[in-house]
Amino acid sequence: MPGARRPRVLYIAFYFPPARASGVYRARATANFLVEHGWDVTTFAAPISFLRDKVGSMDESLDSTVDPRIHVVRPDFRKYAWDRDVRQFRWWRRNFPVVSSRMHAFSLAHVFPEAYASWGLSCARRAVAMHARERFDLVIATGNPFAAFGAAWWIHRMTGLPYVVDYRDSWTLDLFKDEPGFPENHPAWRWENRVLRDASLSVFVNEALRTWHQERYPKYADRMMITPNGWDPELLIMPTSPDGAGSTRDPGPLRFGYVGTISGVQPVEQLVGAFERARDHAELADAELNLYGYLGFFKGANVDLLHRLGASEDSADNGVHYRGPVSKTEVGSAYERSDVLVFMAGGAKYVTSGKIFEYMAAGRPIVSVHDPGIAATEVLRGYPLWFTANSMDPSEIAHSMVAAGKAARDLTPDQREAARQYANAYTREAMLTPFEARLRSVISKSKDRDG
Amino acid sequence: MAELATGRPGSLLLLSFAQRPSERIVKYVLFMTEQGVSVDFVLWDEQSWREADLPPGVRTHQVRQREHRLLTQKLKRFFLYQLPGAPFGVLRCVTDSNPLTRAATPVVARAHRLVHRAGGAVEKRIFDPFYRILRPFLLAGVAEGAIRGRVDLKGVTRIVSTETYSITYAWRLAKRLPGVATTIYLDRGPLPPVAG
Repeated sequence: MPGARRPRVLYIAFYFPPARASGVYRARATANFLVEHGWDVTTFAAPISFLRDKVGSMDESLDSTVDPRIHVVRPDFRKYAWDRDVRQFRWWRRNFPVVSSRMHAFSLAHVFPEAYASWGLSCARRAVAMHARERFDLVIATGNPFAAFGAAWWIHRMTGLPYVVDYRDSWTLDLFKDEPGFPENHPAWRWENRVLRDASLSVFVNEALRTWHQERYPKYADRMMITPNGWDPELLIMPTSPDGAGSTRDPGPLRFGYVGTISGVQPVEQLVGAFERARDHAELADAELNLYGYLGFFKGANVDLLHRLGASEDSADNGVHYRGPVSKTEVGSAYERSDVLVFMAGGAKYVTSGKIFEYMAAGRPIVSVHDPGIAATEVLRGYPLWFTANSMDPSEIAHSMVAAGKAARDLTPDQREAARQYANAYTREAMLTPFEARLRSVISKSKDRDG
Repeated sequence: MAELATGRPGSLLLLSFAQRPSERIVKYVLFMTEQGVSVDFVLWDEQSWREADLPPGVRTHQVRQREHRLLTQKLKRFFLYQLPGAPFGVLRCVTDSNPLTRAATPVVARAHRLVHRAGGAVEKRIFDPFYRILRPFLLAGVAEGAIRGRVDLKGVTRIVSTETYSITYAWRLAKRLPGVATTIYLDRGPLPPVAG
């Protein structure tokens, strides 16, 4: 409408570029999508000093992928849980460490049950001040950390602004054990209830997670929607032409590739065991498994992982090579160097993993190494080059690796194109379009209510 | 690896004033000693740590007896136990001295136990909460006495405070030893060599 003000959204996303935690891609894509579709976007994100000095988790190449029209603000906060250098402790903590520790425990029990609580409070203070100067229309908070949800709730209580919470991750459900993440009387339950009670909308990445929350909070079930993750075409730059003309596979040993952060909750032993068995097959005798990514999400990465993988950068007896991290903007090269992609994921039925969409977009055979019932299988089921053992038994997984390897050798351009066509339905744009429409509806209803 | 290519190998100074050993810390010490790191451990009670399988090569410096001799502890024992208990000692002598009054001895003993228990309750509910706040200060002075002449601080290149009570002492050491990493993190990385 000519002259109409662009809707103004405050997007509270702790992990935002240049952070490299896995949730950053959804946050980055959401902010970019909104600004491209006519929104005025202000993002509250983590201080750079925290990302660099406390968690050591940055990918600076992601900065250039953020739309410059997005106004990024980085409220500071108390980093009690992350301060390790005694010289950096404040006077109070150095001299009264017991009292300081008790105050921290008190704030977790009675203010907000998360170490990021002071960031949430900082965001709320800043938001109220900014809202007084130029009104926002909506707040969106994405978690984890769930202090973002707390901030949205506090802002709502102080200003009446409607807010939306985006569950990139689960707060009170332990995804990997499939059980509640907190004891029954833990303050996290009270907090989640009040956040969902007052939210205009809550968003989940898959049906399994939404269903769990609907069953737990039936009164708010009608305000819960699904917005799956997707893949970002602007980040997936493959060095060779995707026109499918002729096979692009180099002659030589088959190359299995895992691209992404490797964490302790993933079934690395099953992966390595299966690959070693698969190499007993003549087709895969000289195959290699290349692991591209960080070991762990944060600084002080788990050195045990390398040991568990039995991997090295030099020639490895078991064919497993750790190739180190690749920046998000360079992953296309890692996919290009892989004939088969290994989708390894920890957890059970609630896990989708954002990675799977990009894997499909690469148009390669994908072999699964994960619990058969995970939510990602809903997406993979229609992918024409998916190979799964439906089991965590390394021998069975090895069979599917052999099948995937054979498919890679014989892959035709038409098959690759069919795979990519399937993936095109899962671009980030396709996933976010209904979400954006719903946000406009939230604002419209809020304005109608306010008269 | 315990050292970098050049310089004299540094040593690790570990601090724990907790009254019970921690398996996590024992594992950390074991890891570091297996890397060849020289470890000095300022701890509260050596025997309990040894029983928790602290590696034998670790040099320990105990603060328990020194804390027991602190004026605050002496005053606590005097006002909560010795002073209230003194009349019962006298009474006991009186009741024991005379066959007619000897029957009262068990009553006196029971009353003494009740007073002692009351002292314990006062210690736990009133004295201890305040003492815990001051304990880091007090133990910082005590620990200094425990290591004087026994630990070569010039050779220390990492100080690790493993629990809350030792933070104040760690800070004091950090001020005296600029350039020495002082952390609450059980850092398993290689130690830097001694500077110079």
